[in-house]
Amino acid sequence: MSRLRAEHLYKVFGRRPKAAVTALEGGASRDELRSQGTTAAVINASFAVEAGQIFVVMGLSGSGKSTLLRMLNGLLEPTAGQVLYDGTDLTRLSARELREVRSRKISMVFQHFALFPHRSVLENAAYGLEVQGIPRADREARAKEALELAGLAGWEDSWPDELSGGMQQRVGLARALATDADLLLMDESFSALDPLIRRDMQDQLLELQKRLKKTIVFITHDLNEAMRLGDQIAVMRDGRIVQIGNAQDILVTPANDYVASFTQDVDRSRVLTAGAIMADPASTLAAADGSAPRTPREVLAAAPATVLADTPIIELFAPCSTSSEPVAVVDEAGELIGLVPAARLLAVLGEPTQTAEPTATPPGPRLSKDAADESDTSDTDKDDVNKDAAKGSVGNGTAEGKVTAGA
Amino acid sequence: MPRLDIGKWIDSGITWLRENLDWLFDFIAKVVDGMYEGVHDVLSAPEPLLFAGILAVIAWWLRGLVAGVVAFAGFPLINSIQQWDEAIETLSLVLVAGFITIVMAVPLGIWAARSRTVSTVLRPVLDFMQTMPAFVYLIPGIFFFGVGVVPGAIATVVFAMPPSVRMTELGIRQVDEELVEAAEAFGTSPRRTLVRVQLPLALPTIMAGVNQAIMLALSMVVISGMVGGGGLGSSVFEAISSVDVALGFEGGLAVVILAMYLDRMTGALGERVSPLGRRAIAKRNAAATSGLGVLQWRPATSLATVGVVVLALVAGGMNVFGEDEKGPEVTADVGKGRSLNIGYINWDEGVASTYLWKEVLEQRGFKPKVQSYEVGALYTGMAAGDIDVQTNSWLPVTHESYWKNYRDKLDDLGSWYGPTSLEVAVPLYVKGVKTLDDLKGKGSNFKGKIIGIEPGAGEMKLMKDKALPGYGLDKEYKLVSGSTAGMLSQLERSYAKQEPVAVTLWSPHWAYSKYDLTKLKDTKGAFGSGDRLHMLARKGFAQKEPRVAEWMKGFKLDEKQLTTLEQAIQDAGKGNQQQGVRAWLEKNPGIVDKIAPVASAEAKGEQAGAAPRIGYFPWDEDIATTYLWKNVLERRGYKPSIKQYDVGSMFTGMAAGQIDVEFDGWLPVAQKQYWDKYQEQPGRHRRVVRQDLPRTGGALLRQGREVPRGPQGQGRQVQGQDRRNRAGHRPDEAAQGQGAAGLRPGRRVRGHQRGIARDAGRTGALVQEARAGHRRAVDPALGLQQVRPDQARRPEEGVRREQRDPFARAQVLPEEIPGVLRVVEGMAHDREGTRRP
Repeated sequence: MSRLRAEHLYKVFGRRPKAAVTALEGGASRDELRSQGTTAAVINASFAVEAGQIFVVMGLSGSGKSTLLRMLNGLLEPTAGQVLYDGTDLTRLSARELREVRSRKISMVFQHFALFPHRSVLENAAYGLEVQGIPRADREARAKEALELAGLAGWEDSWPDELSGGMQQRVGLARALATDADLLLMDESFSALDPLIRRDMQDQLLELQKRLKKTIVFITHDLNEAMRLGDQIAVMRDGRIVQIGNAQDILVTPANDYVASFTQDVDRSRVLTAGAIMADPASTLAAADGSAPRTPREVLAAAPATVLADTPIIELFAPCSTSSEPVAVVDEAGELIGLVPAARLLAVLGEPTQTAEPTATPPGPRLSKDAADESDTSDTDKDDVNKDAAKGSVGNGTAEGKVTAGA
Repeated sequence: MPRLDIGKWIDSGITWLRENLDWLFDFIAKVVDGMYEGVHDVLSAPEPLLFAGILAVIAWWLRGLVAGVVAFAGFPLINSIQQWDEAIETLSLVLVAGFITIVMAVPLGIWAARSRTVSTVLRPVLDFMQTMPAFVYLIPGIFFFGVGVVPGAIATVVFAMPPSVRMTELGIRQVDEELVEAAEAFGTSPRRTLVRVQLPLALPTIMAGVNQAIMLALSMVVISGMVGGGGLGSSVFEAISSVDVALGFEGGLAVVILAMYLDRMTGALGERVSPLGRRAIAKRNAAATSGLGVLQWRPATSLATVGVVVLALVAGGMNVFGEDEKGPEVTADVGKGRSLNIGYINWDEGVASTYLWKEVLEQRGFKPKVQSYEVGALYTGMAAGDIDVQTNSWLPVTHESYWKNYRDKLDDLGSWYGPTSLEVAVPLYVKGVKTLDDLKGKGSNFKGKIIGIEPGAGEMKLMKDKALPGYGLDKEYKLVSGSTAGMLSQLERSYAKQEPVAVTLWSPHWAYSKYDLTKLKDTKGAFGSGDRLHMLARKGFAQKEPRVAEWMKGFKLDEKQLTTLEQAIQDAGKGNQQQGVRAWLEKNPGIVDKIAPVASAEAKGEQAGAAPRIGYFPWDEDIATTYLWKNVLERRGYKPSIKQYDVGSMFTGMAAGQIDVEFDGWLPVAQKQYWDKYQEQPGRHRRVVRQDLPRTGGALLRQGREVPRGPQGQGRQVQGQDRRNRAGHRPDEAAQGQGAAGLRPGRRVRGHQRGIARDAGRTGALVQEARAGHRRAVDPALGLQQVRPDQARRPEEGVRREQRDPFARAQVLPEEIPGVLRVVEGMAHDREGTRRP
């Protein structure tokens, strides 16, 4: 049973929203409704979030992702559909019950931090507990713990306006963590931070998540962030969820042009893993250079590097450049499970093929076939791909290299 | 376009409100007045310097040493320009009005911020309140609340409320939506969101609104000086109406000091109370350089509180041990410290006669308060009962319109000077202008202007309605309205430059002795025959203060006396009117005793000093008779105490000897059971005796008590005696009595005796009259004793009626007490249906 499930959620602003929902169900488009003065912010959104997962909703501004998020904790009432949290339908709760749920089970982190300027850092962090009616000493102790978790130990008596943006958002995070709510809604929480700090916060969130195992719904318009954080990613466009899948699904098999165009700017070398692009070792063993097939052991010995399946491919470039032999991919036991030749490495960094398969596919064999096809079919494409790849890897690589160094 | 009588509709709406919601306005007036009196008593208690000290400590606490020092300089300055009392009155009024404003505005603003509908509805209302000229509010204010502090405060509240409401709404709406959302997201209820998040964050804006409200209140309070709001407003208004630059500047300066203090303090207070403000202060303090430490240092809240309390205690202590202020020597204590309000129009003869009376009354032990008003406000205030007397009513012509409107609420105490005349005057050096006709065609000489006086003055109305059109001058001349003082200073300027000028003037006036002027002959009689100057009192005043009324009726001044008095006051200078009067009195010895004669000894009843206890039921006729008796007995030197009872307890109390007398025994039917139980019977210990008093209905007496007797000393033993026989049973009386009974149809006719039935009817008439004549009859005794205004001038009729009226002749009533007699006269007069307005 999923921890959080949204079923056929609709949110329509304007007059006669119910009628608009009926029209949408009947196939009316968003623009038709808009001409009548109603705005369909979220249309038929369904998804499930497992416990301990980070579920990222990604989309451009106006795509309805923030509206969707606010329906999850009842700040906005869905026009139609259900929100099931731990099996409870939040849309059926009374206002009082809903407040109770919000104060104990769901907390939220905001884009612009939303810290109360008239409260100290400690009072801010303790706010949720104060609403719950927990005695002062108790709540301050817990708020202190949360601040420590967020890396703000020692700042308790400061005021929000004395902190930098990143620190303020840490307070926001601490405020959300202090209530021990299991579900964390994060509304573009890192978007207002500058890139260095953003990356830092992302790392910290992942770090925290390893320890705390919260269920997190994270909203962002930044696909890189989505890829970095998301166990599952839902891409929204014009109020609809156009694709749900993990980072590689989105990247490798985008559901449509829109998603594909989104993924253009993504640094594939960091998202794609060796496991996702490796070629079947059997075929490679056979047809390396026309000579007799080699044993896996020989291949392993010849390979410039040996990596695990979840290694980002960016780490493969250096080894590949030093040798004509493919990089070997091994499992935990050290058995050879695939090979990544240099040509393949370059090919996947380019544009994805025109239309991908509609459903997410297991990586491995099929992908390798696609990649092989691609590399075989057109030379002109290949040139473009290579150009793109070079550009992308150089640009992103240096930028992020700095980041890493800075961090 | 059809004429839409919006103004008239509003007018009739307001009249309707006044008639139907009088209790509400009375209640509001009481509350506001009570608040004002309370605040004023506290603020006016300490010595000026000490109070300045308290204010300075507050300033020091809120804003630092410099502000404290400046405050300590500013407030004594107000004292030294003799505006202290006025400033304190104004401060009290501002605080009260500001408080009411805030208490109403902030919740309204919150409501508007939370509901779009409320906001939409409220906005035009606020626009209306804010943009309507502030003066306009004074008019319904006077109608509903009379003159004085209350209408001023109400108008102030109306005027000052919009910014406060708007700022509150704005402040709350301005709070970052994300913050509100954050509060909601953590499960905060809307009420707590308001209290914990929205209000604290909106507080700086709300306090800015409060600051605005206080400042507007201050400006409005000054305007309300026009309707007797008192304080600095009165100073300023007086200065304007008499073109007194010195007083105007001093009053204005005091206003400025007060305004600056209130502005800075409410601003700083806003910083203190809001959490964000405190943050800002803390930051500033942290950033402040150390060099000016002394100036930066402020007493902590606790320290400031201690300082204020200590000063306040010192002030309180000094007040306890302080001396009473010195008034004039009281030559005969008739007034026993009772206060009465004299209103006047700021005209020379009005000032002269008013201050003369003030002095006379103070010498007689009264505490008169004098206050200048605009003409209309003066009459309205009198009709509403807020002003007791005015000395300067120009009747029958000039003030005709006011008299017509309010005559049934006013008593004419007779004229004290006359005849007067109204006229247009030009300097003697303007040749060829001897009559009003001569003005025609010379408009250019006079620049097309005739300099008038206050627009509300009757003379102005006569000029506009009769004189100008009558002589065909209305096209050629414009009647410039302003003030008497303005007219006089214009006359003085033109006279000095020998320029032609035409002014509206009246006789008597000192201008005629100071300048050589030609009174233009009124050949067409446009101004009518000459007015006389009348003393007017509000209805019921003559009963409340019969001695004063008597004195006022006898008051006369001849032209020499009046002009010398006016001159004396002119010589004494503004603000020293009373000294002028005293100087004049010194030159006219004995005049006080002539104006207000005091008998060597008051006539006393035989048992003067006895204290009969009177019980009464809360029924109209009993209230009426009881208070009548109370008054009568008091005048006769008794000290009756009255108390209200229920029927059963009344009889029990009488039988037990706790009540001496009641006047409303309904016998033999209604209260038979009690009567049977308690009546005097041989062998019974507890007894009640019936005494039929033909004039006021039956009286039941506790056995062994005697009804106080009249001075004639017939020494009639009342017990068991039937007074009817004495009253006589002439046929015309019986008929009259029946007629009177008809005034009060059918209600509980007391039928056991003819005479009593008749008297019951009369009592009813008395009560009815009390209600009709005096709407605010809180004290029924006031309502009881009403005098028709025409009586004073027709004494011979009074005598005639007196002879015919058995009530008046009844021996139980002491005839020599004029107030009571007049009641009787008035009633008889009414029944004859003559001259009822």
